[in-house]
Amino acid sequence: MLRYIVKRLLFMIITLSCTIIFVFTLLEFTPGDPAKVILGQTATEDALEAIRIQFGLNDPYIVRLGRYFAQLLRGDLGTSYITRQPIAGAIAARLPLTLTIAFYGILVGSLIGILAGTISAVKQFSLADRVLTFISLFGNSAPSFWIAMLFVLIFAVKLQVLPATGSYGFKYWILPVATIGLQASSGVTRMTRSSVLEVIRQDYIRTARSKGQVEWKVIISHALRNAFIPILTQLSTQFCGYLGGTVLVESVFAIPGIGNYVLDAVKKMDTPVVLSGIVIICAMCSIIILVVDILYAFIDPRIKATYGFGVKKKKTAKAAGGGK
Amino acid sequence: MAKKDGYQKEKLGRSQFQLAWIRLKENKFALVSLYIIIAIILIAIFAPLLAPYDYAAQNYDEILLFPSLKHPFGTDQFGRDIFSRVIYGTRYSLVIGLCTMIFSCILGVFLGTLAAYYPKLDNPIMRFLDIFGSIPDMALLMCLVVIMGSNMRNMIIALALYYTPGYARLARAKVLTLRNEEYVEASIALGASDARILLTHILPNAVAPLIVRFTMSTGGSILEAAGLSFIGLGIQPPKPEWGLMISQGRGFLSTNWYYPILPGLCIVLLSYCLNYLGDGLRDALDPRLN
Amino acid sequence: MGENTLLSVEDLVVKYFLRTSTCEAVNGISFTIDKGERVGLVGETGAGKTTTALSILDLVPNPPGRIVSGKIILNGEDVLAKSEAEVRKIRGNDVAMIFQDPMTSLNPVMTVGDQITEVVRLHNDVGRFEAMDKARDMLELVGIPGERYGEYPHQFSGGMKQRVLIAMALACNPKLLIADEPTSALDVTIQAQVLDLINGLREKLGMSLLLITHDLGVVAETCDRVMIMYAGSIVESGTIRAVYKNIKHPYTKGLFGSIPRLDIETERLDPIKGMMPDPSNLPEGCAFCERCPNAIEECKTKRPQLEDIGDGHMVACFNPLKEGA
Repeated sequence: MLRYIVKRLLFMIITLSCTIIFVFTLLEFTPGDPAKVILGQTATEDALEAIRIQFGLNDPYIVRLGRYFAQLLRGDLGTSYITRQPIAGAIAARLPLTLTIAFYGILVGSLIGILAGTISAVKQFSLADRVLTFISLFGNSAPSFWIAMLFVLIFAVKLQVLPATGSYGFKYWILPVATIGLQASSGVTRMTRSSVLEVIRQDYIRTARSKGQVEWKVIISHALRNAFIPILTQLSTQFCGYLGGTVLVESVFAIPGIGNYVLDAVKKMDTPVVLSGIVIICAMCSIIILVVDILYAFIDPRIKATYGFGVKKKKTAKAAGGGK
Repeated sequence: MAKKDGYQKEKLGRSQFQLAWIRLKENKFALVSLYIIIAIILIAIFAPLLAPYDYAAQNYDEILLFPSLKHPFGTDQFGRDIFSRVIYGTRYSLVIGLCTMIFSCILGVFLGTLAAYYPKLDNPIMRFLDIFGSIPDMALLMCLVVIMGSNMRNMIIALALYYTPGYARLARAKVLTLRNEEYVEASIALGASDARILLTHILPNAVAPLIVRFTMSTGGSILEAAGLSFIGLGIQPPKPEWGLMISQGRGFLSTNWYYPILPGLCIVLLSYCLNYLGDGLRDALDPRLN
Repeated sequence: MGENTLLSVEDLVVKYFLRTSTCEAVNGISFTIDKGERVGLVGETGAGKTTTALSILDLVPNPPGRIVSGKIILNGEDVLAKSEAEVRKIRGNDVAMIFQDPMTSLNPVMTVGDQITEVVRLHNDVGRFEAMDKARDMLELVGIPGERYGEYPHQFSGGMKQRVLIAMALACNPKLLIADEPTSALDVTIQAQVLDLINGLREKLGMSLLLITHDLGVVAETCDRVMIMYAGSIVESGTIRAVYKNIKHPYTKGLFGSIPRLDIETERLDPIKGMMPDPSNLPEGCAFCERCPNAIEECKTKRPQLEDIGDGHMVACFNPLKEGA
């Protein structure tokens, strides 16, 4: 198990490095002169040259890429062209907020989604199923920023029970969390429904029923656990999707998170910030995916077996998989 | 167990797609979704005939009017008729959605088939696409917009690139499984060329999942496009794009709620219908999934 | 219905209501099983054997299936008239079932021991550890070391999984064990072991057995009585001796004709021609009529009923085979 985790961790670092190289290279093609971004269009050629030397902009591509990696290893994410402040500090100030809101949103979404999806699957074709399917498809089809504005309209403008924008405490988080929660629960509901539907047709569910087990226990202890892996995958996808698109929700609620920070940088062509922002978001996603991969092993012993305790068990696991 | 579907017997001899169409027709909501999508396409084509006003015509006598018979969706801060703008907006969403999907589908299927058919190319292509796919959607799109600038063409390219890995993976998986089918092996044994096998045996059988993905991703790409426009990285004003209209109307949410909300409702309607149709198509094309 | 009767199924009708058709899986069958008796239920795939078995536990998948009418009387009480909670007390306790495919019948994410413990705790008022001990005992009983309690199904072979399922079924000393093709998914070498195990334990625990199979040889070895099922109806039944020595129904004869035999020199097998009728579209007359070499005019219009032809040998046929045919 430990060996698997180390292996995955190494693999994650390699993938992440490739991603960094990829994004770094992409941003190389940014039009315009970075020095002018730093000093403005009116700067003199001498001043521009001075800044190019200061930021090392004249160095060849490969040197700058190497320097960026060296910086990353020291925990330095570079310096913003616009504010001339270290990016690491700015991100450290914003990331916790983004992550907290995302975490609560996904938590709320997964609780509601798993419950709704299970009900939907167990009562397939019932009225409840139809209503839940309708709502979850709606959540999948509506843009997050629009849902956010709808919430603001209802709860902040009309009912005036919650603040609309800003981030000064828990009350301010309710609407963003609800927005993410609605979207996440939609995806989770749909995934749970199809996954549970698949599982409750399996023979072992019939076996459990033939033992005289109560139906809701059959669903919880036999069906849900078997259905959980695709649900978990869906959760990690939702989390990453939200982290990437966090800017949409953050911009509606004016949350000073990492999304707004990167968006601002994109508009001002502040490429170091864009690069490091994307790298941090990708790193977060990689970690989530790794954690989920490890969680698989605790849910399904067959996966745990393939994660390796020596060759023999790997074979039996394969045989079991093939027999299905 | 004695559960035979008499169904298959009576419908023997019809093609996969005829059968799928029959099953789709049984799904009333999916059919309604299809009609709504067709209606929206027609609206986009005939927008100049249907829109009561010019979408760009400013009228400072009629700013920020609430919805009325004269202006069904009200007017914006420049006195432009929101209803007319929404009607023209269908063009942007549909064109973006369709172009994105056509480009990404062709590119993805091409790369995926290449990877599946030539093992030497498999690893390089798929690993590259993995890296591409490991970057969250909006982050990648923002990155691409930075280097290409924000306009409609670049947004389509960026979205198409973003959706390519999904198609490539689907096509690759499908080709890999189909290639081991006996009828394909039979034609390999008969000496058919790779291209011939691909075109006559493999692609037609991979079409069903591709159609489903196409339909559902079109909805997704319309949402992404609206999102990009919303944060100011997509379509630029004064064009009447839905996401952009929501963005422009957000300042008026507390006083003129219809301004940002109604264009959003159109996005929801279009994307909902596409998703529902996608669901229906999946069920119709693969009845086992139910 | 005698003093000794454990289970009596009366006029059971089960249908599957599909989207486009109604499938008549079981069409008014009746039979009894005595205490300690071993009964074989034989028929080809799709004849309604499994549905019959599931009906006894009221486990017909619903939707689409439904028990339309009939009675299932166990120990003098009608199972179908009971509430869901009361039926649950029967499942696994009075009547236990072993399913066809051991590969898929065990929950892959639960240890085999816990799966046995579950049924023990459901029907006995015992603590967790006591139940675990019982589960270990059951594993030992079916020839699996008790230390394997904590292992998962994927660590067992097919035959071992079937043993686990047997242990699970017998954990509460059921009065009736239903074995639904317990060996057809296993290797031939394992089949005999598993059958011997079921038989031995049945004798030891003194329960009744309903063995569902398509293998007439297995039935001859294991059972006291046999029932032949075709298209949702029982077409012939009786003691093994009576039926095997004196085949009356052309379908039964066809079944025997489909088995290769070593003791008789034959050029080729004599399989039954044609296919079983579509259960959603059964013919008006005898369901076997179209494939029957002995069919007469009456067979096309009327359904034959089971009739006793002496010695408890029952047959549903208008033109049964003659003695020694």
